Amino acid sequence: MLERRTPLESMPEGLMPDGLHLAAVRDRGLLLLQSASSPAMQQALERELGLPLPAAQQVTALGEYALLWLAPGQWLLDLPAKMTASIETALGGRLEATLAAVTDLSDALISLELGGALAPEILMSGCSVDLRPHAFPPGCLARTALAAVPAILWNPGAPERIRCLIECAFADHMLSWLRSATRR
Amino acid sequence: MSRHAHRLERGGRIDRSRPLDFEFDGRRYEGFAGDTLASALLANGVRIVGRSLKLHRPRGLIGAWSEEPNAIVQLGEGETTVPDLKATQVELTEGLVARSVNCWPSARADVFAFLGIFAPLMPAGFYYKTFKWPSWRWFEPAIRRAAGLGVAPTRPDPDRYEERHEHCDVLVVGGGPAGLAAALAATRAGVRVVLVDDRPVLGGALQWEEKLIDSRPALEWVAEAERELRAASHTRVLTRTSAFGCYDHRLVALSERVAPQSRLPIRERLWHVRAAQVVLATGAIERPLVFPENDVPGIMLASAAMSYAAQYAVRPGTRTALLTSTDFAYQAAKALQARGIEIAAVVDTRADPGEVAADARRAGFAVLAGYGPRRVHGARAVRALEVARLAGGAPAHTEQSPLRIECDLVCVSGGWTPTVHLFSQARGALRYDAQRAALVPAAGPKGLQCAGAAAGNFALRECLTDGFAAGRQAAKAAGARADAGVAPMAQPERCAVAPFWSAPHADRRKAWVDLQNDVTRADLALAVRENLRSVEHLKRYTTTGMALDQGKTSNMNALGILAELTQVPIPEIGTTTFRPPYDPVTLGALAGRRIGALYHPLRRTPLERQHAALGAVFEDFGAWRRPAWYAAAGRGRQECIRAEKRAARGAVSVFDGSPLGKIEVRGEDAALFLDRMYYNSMRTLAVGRIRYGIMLSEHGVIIDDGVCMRLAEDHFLVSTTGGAAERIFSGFEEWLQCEWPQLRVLVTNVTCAWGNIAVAGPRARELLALLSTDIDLDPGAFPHLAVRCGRLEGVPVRIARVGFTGELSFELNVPAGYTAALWELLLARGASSGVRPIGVEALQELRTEKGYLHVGTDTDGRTLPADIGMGDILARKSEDFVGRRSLMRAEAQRPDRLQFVGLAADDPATLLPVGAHVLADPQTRRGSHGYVTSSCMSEALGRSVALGLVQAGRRRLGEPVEIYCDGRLSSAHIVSPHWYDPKGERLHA
Repeated sequence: MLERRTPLESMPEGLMPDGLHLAAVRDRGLLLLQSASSPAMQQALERELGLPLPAAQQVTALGEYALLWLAPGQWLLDLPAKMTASIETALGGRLEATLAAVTDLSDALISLELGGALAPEILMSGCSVDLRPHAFPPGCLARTALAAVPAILWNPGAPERIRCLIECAFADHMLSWLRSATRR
Repeated sequence: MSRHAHRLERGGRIDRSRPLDFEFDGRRYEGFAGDTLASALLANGVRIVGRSLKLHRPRGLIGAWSEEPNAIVQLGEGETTVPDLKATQVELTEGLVARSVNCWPSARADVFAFLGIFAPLMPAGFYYKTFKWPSWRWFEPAIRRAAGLGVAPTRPDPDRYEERHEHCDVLVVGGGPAGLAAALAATRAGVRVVLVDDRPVLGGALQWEEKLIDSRPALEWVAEAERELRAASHTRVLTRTSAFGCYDHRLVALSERVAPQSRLPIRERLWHVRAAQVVLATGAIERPLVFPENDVPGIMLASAAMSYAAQYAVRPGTRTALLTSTDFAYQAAKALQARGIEIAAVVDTRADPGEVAADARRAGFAVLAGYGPRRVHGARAVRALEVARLAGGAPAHTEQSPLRIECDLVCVSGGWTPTVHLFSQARGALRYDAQRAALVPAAGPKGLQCAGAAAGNFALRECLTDGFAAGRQAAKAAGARADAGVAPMAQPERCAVAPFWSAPHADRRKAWVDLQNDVTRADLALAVRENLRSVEHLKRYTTTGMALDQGKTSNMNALGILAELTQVPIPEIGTTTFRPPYDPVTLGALAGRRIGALYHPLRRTPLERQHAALGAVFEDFGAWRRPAWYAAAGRGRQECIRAEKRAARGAVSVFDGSPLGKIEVRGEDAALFLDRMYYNSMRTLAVGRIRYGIMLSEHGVIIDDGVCMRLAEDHFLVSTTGGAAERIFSGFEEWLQCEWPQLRVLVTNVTCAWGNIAVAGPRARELLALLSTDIDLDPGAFPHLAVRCGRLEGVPVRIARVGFTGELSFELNVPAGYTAALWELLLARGASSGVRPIGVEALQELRTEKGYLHVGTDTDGRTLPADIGMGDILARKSEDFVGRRSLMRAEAQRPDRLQFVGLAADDPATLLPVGAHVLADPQTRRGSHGYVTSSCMSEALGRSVALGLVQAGRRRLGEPVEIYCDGRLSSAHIVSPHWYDPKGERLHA
């Protein structure tokens, strides 16, 4: 079997200046869920994972699963990598009778987590959304531009943490941008 | 002249224990910490600080901050130099080097001063009238060289700049009394507040107007307010920060000069502040008076003279006359006298200034009421002011006048102009207030209000109450519940004004309106005589208000004079449009960190590191960084590309096709939907098969091409060209969401989810057979233009028998994370088959000799399907599709359209250059019948090959043509574009 790699392989991790912490979120899978009917999706997810659908620009989480709202009729399921294939099949089966699609995007996006009290400020040097804790509490999500590329930002609930989902083709760009943003 | 010759003994908010050396125009001087460059120059007795733009007249300081039109300097040297700063806004630092712009060798002794002699030859509209023959372009380079202000650094800027987005409930612009009161009210109400001020210290005019607030010195109140604001965790105070632009929905742009003492290696920071409520407490700018010779160094705004004396302990003159049409000058007279400056007289253009003049007379001031200025004596410095009694608005000769007042400083005070720039930029309406002789804010956009002097409330008492009320109201509108408390209080004061727009005069002396651009009252009068009576025309024709200072001291006077000249009241004339920036912003701040590698985000393929290890030379193709070719030691570019092409034709090649757009289309109406999106019919495509298709815009023009694969009855995979994935995907979404929401289709962009490696060449199947897969690769089971899903080396794969080289070809699609390992495996296993990676250059040449067109290279913004030989489908396809209607137009069916053909140079060794034209008439070398779009030397065919768009090309196959490029002619024949393997036998191998 072929070896699986990510553009974040060579990413240096750990503490940066000002108590910032940057880490690649590894061993996670991403399933894009599309459905013309929210109730059908709601039912499939509740039966399969017990997860309720999030409201617009929100995230619902249960254990190791997080469900991100992306657009009307579109969600992203963030789940343990090893569960991706089986959940994809299971959800696909439950949604078979409706107009719906489950797509594995695990390799399409990279997931970065920036921690530390200054994390919002660093990200806001290239993003116009207010990411400070009072405006972006746990469970909040924004689809926006970060460093001039499309990004999904969300608050996973841990204090002072922000997750960034970026197209994998922009991984190098995002890492150089973060390096320049945190240079002191 | 001794150092600090004009420094007052006491006072000022400068640090006399920290002297700072600096250099101006090559001479060394000394100032103190806390000085601006302007105040330090004045302290050293430097009166001439700049030269005017057109006539190079000597000019002195008029203002003390952003309104200054004369003291324009180039700061610093080498790569960090900044042009066109106002000396009044430059904080003095140790070792500072500055020179005045627009003069040589110095402002003091400028060799271009002779230009003044030619002033009569340079009236308003001088450029338009003079440089007409033979054409403006003939003169432009020389004039641009002569007219430059400042110089840009020639080497890259080593400094760092930052960008920051900020959100708040209340943004207060301006840290004067009104702004501080507003910020205090909002902060006390408990909302998130940002207060910005462009000066290094808060307080605004309170820094030099010595007044009382709540019965104690105003500066004590300022210090306490600042402490309270800085201590509040929900309030941010930014000094040295200029709010230069106000945009839709209360987005305000700020440029922060990071404090020189800050240890951060950052020079400037650009802020984008989005506020729920904006309070503009931007103050007001004093107006000078327009009278003959009003540009002699030593004529200064009364407020500026007060600022120099009180803030910097600098004596702007020893004996001053005040020339005014307002009550404010009497305050200034008292303040300047208190600083030890002798007051020669207060000359008031108003016949009866009332109590304020009576008070002044009682205090011992000489007041000349009803007098106006006639002229100034002195060329390089003021020696005396000549005034006369006004009769019918003009200074007249009477028994006592003209009167000559000996003085070395004339303080002018013509009223206050509210700083409404930001309000107006945000489309706030202005209204002329005759009592205040000012344009004041009227209706504003939602959530945006002016307060204090910016709203026309010039007295301190009104500034404080108005500012506090605005802050309280803004906080409430932003959702505050807490009470803001009581507004600070000050004494009432007199602020009457009777505008005196200009002193009419008969002689040839010049009365300056715009000092930086050298626009006189006579220029305005000439423009009006030439019927340029609209304020917008007047501005552009005379250039008044178009200098670096954007008319901060001149626009209102120009408007008043225009009203007098045209006999049209000011409200009917209106005003010119205020545009950002309020004050100049450096390009460094605007660029921020978007420079170098971060300038344009590029996509990288999953094989970036593998390509680099193989010596790839990368180039940017669309939004992707891709290997153009692979360099080998000791070989040139052409040689390497030839070797890549040989491998593709003779053995087997691997090509990274990951950037190819991949869009999944699913649902029961998927086939119907794609039938509408493609020109080609897609409903008839069998499951497991692939069809080449083109997509059209609504105008029928080809916008993209690629293959469409049917994976299941209700599941298609659309492949787009590398740069088009997002564009095509958004197009799909738009049609589905806006036009056909009833179609049961879902589209998903999976471009980045899958890696793509094209294995092509006669030994491609042999190489794939070395890998483990459950897909039958036999040509009988897996023919050309078929697609198979299965597993390859244990991972999911979609293999498509398509390619762009014209050889037996398999495109392997695997989840992106496995692409690198698969690539390495193919190169390792294929070593014995002669496998070679090929780059975009080789692929382009291979497809050119095959005659495959490349959309955007071999087509342009006019190319229709029939032009590339696909016209027959239109008649066969019964269903509607995007662009169909446009193909019915007569223009689309003209027989002489440019058509896609091959072009064969008669000399097989001649490479026809891309862009070369097919001559319509070879004799005269005139007219074009089309052009070469792709061209290369073909190894396989042993000759040059070219593709092109030629008028009625397909009917002219075999016809000889002459091809012209850069003076060279080549003979060629029009041929079929299918140079290599025209029957396509190699594809089906």
